[in-house]
Amino acid sequence: MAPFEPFAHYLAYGATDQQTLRDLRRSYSGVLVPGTIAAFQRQGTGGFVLSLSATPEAPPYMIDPRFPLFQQALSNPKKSHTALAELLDDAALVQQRRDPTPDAFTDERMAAIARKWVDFNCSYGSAENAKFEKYAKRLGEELTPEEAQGPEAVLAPYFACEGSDDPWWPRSKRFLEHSQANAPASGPPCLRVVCARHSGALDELLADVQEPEQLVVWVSGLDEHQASTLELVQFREAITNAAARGHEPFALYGGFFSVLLGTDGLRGASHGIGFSEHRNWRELPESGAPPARYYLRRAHRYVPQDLAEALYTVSPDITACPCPHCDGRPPVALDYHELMKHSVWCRAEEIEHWYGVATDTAARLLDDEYDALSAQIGAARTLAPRIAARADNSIEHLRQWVDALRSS
Amino acid sequence: MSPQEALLVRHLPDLSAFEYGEAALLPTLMRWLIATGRVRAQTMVAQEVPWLGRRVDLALLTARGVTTAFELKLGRLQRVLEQGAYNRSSFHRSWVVTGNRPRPDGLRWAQELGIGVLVIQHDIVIMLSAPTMREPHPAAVKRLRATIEARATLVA
Repeated sequence: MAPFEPFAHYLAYGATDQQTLRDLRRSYSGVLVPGTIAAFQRQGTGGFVLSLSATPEAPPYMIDPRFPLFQQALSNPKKSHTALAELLDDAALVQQRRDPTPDAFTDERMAAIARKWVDFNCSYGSAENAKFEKYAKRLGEELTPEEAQGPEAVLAPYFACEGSDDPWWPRSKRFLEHSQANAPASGPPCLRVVCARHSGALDELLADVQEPEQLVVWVSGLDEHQASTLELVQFREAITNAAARGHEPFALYGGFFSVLLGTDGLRGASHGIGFSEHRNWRELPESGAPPARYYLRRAHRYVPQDLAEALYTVSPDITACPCPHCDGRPPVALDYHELMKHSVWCRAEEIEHWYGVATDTAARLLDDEYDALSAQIGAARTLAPRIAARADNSIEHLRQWVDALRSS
Repeated sequence: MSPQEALLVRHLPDLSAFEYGEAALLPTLMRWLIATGRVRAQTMVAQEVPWLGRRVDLALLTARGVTTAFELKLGRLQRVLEQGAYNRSSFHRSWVVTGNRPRPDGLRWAQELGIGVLVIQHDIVIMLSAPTMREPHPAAVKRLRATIEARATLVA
């Protein structure tokens, strides 16, 4: 299945990303559609996703139920939140005053939610295509609604969990069982999403999944560029151990460090276009278009476009990129969609060049790159002091990654 | 009302909105820009211009397409120098405007980076250094002009 064919490169769908998803449909493996968007912009999202799935490239897609959204109080619920709750036929999922307790999710209630969710997924390919023709026209191809595909798999509703003794965890497991019980035999498989509230909890949660399976993992708030060495090591060990137990994990969020974990058994990762390589479950209620940022290829991270331009003035070599979207131009010349396409191109290139590289080799290469970048930035005499400090900070994560890769 | 006063009113119709913080520098700055011919009848003037994920305090676009950025700061210069340096990458000219005389090292950095420095004290504008003119990348200039136009106060 596509999300587990290494190294799978999924892109999270957002309404502002349609052009990038359309133009680059040969450059990524699949699309992850947030359940909130699928529920709220129902026909528009459906028309776009289904017309894309009808093309010869037919990127597979899955819909993320984003259920930890309903594990917390939504003091100012958005229309997309209530739309998802209504789709699940459970308006009480939106609680405005206080966080719901695990007890609020009875087995009967979870069975009903899982049934609605599975029904929605299984009928998605045929029921959400009212705007199919409009989006097919934008693709510039002659497509028919009959060619549209359903989701590759059903991501079962899930909760964010502290550990295996967290009362949310058995409920998360029950959600999968209810989803599987409601899934038609001829339909897409149901997948488990293991959402750990911190990196230290992931290994414990995965160890509690007895039989080997293809599953989706998410460590809440694990920002690969800000994480400590310990957090990165914990994440890496959890992936290594899961793979050793026969699991095939796919990361719901991930950046370049996740690509490196392909060597340890991670099968693929998803990220937003131009942002969202990590997410805290508490921040799920927040949404919006990302700020335009530039993917600094040599540092394997996004930086503000003006910082990228400052680095370009130090030496064009720091921001050099052979992609057709940059076309040899400085970072500031790229408009929003060019920035997005550049970032997707870079990740695809990273996967092509780095997936499967031995861990010690990857660590040595990153170490060398850090030294080279550090020397170039340090030698610059044209950066204002605060910009120089920001430039230094923008490459510090490379040392953390090297330490995490060498820790075993 | 003189033409210069009319221009000021057009761009800053409610001066009471600029009594506090860094915004208090704006009326004096605008008078100076008009008096020195830097803002004319056809000049587009935009405040809080969204650009590359930040907001530029004041941006000008002349009829000939020349763009100028101003960043305002009452206190220390280093932070605003950073903003001014970033603006250099896409504006033809970049200024920082401060309420205090900068230290020599701050002024040296501004000159080295090609950023103009204005000090405003007691409604008087003192130009400590002029910005160097730069020709940014055409694609950036094109987007920037469109952004300023969309944000600018209407030209009569």
